[in-house]
Amino acid sequence: MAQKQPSKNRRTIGRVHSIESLGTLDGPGLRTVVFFQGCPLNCIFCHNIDAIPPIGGTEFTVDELLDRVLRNSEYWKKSDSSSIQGGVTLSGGDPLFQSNFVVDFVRRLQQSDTHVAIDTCLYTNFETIDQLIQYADLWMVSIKHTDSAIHRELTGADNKTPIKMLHYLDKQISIQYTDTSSIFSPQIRLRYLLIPGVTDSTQNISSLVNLAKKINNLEAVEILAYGDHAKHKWIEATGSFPMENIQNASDKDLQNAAKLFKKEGIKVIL
Amino acid sequence: MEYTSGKWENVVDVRDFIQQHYTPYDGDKSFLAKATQRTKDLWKQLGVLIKEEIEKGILDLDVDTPSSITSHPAGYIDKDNEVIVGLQTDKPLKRAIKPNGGIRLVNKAAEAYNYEISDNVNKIFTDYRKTHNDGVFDIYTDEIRKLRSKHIITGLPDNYGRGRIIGDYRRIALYGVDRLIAEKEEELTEIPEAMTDATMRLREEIAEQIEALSQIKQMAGEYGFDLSKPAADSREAIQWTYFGYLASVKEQDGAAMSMGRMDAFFDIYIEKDLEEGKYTEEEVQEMIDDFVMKLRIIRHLRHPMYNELFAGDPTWITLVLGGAGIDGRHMVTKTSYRFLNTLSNLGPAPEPNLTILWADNLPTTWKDYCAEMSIESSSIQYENDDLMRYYYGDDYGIACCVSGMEIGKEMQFFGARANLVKVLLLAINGGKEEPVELNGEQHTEGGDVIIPGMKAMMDKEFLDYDEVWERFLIILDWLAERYVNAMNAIHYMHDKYHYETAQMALHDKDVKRNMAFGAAGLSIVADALSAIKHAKVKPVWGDKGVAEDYEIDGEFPKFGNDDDRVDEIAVNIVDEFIKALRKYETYRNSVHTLSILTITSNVVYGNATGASPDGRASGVPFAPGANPMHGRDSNGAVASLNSVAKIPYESCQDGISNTFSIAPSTLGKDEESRISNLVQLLDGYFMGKGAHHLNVNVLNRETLKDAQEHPEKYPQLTIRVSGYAVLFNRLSKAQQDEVIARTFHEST
Repeated sequence: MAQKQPSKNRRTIGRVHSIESLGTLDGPGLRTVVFFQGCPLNCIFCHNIDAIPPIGGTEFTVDELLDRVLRNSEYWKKSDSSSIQGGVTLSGGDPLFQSNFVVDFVRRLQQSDTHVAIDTCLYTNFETIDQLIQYADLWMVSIKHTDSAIHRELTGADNKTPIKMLHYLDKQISIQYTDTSSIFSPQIRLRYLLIPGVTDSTQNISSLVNLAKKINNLEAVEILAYGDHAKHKWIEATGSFPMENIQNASDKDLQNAAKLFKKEGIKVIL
Repeated sequence: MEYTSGKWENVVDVRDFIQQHYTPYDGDKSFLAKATQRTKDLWKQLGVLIKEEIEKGILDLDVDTPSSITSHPAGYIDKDNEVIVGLQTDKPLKRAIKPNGGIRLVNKAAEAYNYEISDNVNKIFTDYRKTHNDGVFDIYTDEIRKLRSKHIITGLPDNYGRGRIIGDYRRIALYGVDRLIAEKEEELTEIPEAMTDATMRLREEIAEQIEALSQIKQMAGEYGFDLSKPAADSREAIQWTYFGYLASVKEQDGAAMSMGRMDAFFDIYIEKDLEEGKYTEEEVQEMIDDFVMKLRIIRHLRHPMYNELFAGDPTWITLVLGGAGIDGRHMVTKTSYRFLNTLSNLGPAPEPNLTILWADNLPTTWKDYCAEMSIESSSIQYENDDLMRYYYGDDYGIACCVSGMEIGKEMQFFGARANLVKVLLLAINGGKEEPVELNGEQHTEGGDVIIPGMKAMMDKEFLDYDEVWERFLIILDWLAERYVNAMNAIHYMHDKYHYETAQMALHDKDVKRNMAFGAAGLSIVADALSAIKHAKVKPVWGDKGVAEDYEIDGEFPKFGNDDDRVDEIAVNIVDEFIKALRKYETYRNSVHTLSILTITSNVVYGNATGASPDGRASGVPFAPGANPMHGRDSNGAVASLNSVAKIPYESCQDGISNTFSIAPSTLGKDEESRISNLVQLLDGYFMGKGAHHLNVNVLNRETLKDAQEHPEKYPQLTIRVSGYAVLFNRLSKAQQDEVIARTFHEST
């Protein structure tokens, strides 16, 4: 069995929407961001609508994708220290939509000493988390909405699965890594898109604060400002834009939301 | 503090003095002094004049006095308030004429600004005195003339000063002029007495250098300074050094007359004076501010046409900062900080062309400060010191944009550049000129025979990669031979009629001479060859038997995406070009070098070049320098940098220019992360990938668009274009459009 594994790696095919070689907004430091094709959700505010369909994109084998991203590895470490200042972020779409490929890929990334972040909505299953947990340094989990009914309206699915998976992930990290002396200790960053009139009520934020407080391995909460820059993509793809009457979030909106987290001693990234 | 004795005392060796005395600084910027009221007032006075100058084209011109080291009396901005003095003429921003380069061009340039050169000057330089320009055109062959007029080789310094020579201006401060004259007299005795071409030329040159040195002394005397002895303190060290530079820019108007490497040298004097309590930090910053102000108002008379090649009235007073020594110590001093601090004290500006020598072992505090100032001013360029130290040691400077040279020991014969896209089109069209349309209008019909005896590649419907490549190499070699011939002619005549006496007086007797060739359009040729190889390219043949356009069927890898399939083509092109050039003998046994640098001529080069097989339409500007073509680098900035980093410095020792624009919000979420990300990017590009050069612009496309519409809102908006910086307002509309069209790395 062990001998067969590499040949299997080469056969696994991943579909990649695009690769950003200078990512500074998705995880710490300078990162190469791989946007995978396909997503289980259908968010009406999606800014990567062309990455939602499971078809399309460019096909890569694990080796090919590895070669592609590792070309940038010299940019991830400070020359005068060994501390990691960047790495690879798997985004999409949702990377867990192609979990077989992604598991193979991150295993190989970890072998080459790369800091790995996974940007996901966690609409996934226990098995995928079990497989990935030993390879990902940072889980960037997007919470779309804390109210399940509204979640369904916004994304086409309720939030029970993602919330369940989030708690499972947190628990597994605690069980597997917190007590060991290993330097590898995965963390969770909650990401929240602040949409004026949709996700920014005090009630919304408070319930997110409560959720964050329950996460033992929380790195920070990252609040992202909604902007309508994907409008042209929506109109091109569907002829209309579902967020037509929604305002962009302002700096002030972000600051107001951040206050509620900081009050509870939760680290906030804006 | 006393200076320790050593080699520098016995022979002229500024490097040895620096290495023995400089103090590396590992601290941060907190010691820096702000601009004093005096500095602000002086800069304000100049601001008024500069504004008037931009409105009028030039502020004033002396039409009667051909400029020389001693031609003009002392000039001041505001005599009582200047800490460092000296102007090229009697008034700030008043330009002078240097007709030794060519009287015709001087006349044309003056006329363009409604001045008339005096009859007397015209008579001298027409009836009695031959110029460099006359000399070159006396011996140019018809073929070379054709290569010029057909824009295959453009921008040759055959009617303007060649520049790209850096005098070791520090020698005047360290040794005083009398000692330097004595050394030169000693050198004369070392030349064999047999009168051969080489010895006669050298004897005459050194005699002229000695004359220049006494003139420098005389010029400084007009300002009340005695340069015969070494400088006694920091103010004198800066002043003495500046006089050396001033003499050079009074004698010559070379395209790029760079400053060299001053930070550690000045710092030695400054540290001593600070320690002895002679000056305060505020006072030494004033000296640096004043010195930089002087450099910001150096002017040459240029024809407006020249602006197309070199936009924005640049002088390329390139000043390198930082770097590391061969003994392993970094060479960042407090004075490196003081120079960058001028960008805060005086605001951003194109000159001096501040160039950070980036090395692995620079202190983090310094790297952060550089990145911070880059983000703030978009006025800084970076070059790989770890790479260049191997070639030039630890006392080199940069001439112009990217040309490394050991100071006082090395110079170059500047040679502008060849249009590689035209070379490819000649290969396809069987040696005939391609038709050129510009903005929908026929510009050149095409069909003129440039290389006789060849057939256009009409046999097959689609171009065959192997055949095109083979042809390309044949034409590249054909061109290389003629390019070397043209350069030999130019530099023979420049030495003969327009020799740089002041600058060469500040060199050793036996200098290493480089002959700097250049290439434009690299990314387009690489993409075109990639299209021919990986897609199907069908030429659309016109009546004249030349291709009018190209139809491309299929996808192909494009330079700028870290894709070896096309990047290797680019590497092969430069390797083959330098190989071809090296086959042909150069004037004075100079060493062939090659640059991938366009200045701003990528716009005019593109305007004069027909459609190319990469899908570029006729007349469209090239990408600058070694940059990927606008918009074709679609995998983000790092992939784009990685492609350029593959171009081998070994083949392009005159430099590989890359200009990079990034939106602030893409570089990072906040100031702190933007700084650390930029530092990391530079570390990765230089130390990780071994690349040579990077211009960094941190700004939004919208800012440039706004500046184009409302120039009055952005009087000091400075951007890096190609190895140098310009005031955005000084670019032509077409050049502004091209800069706006460049790839801006921005996240969506």
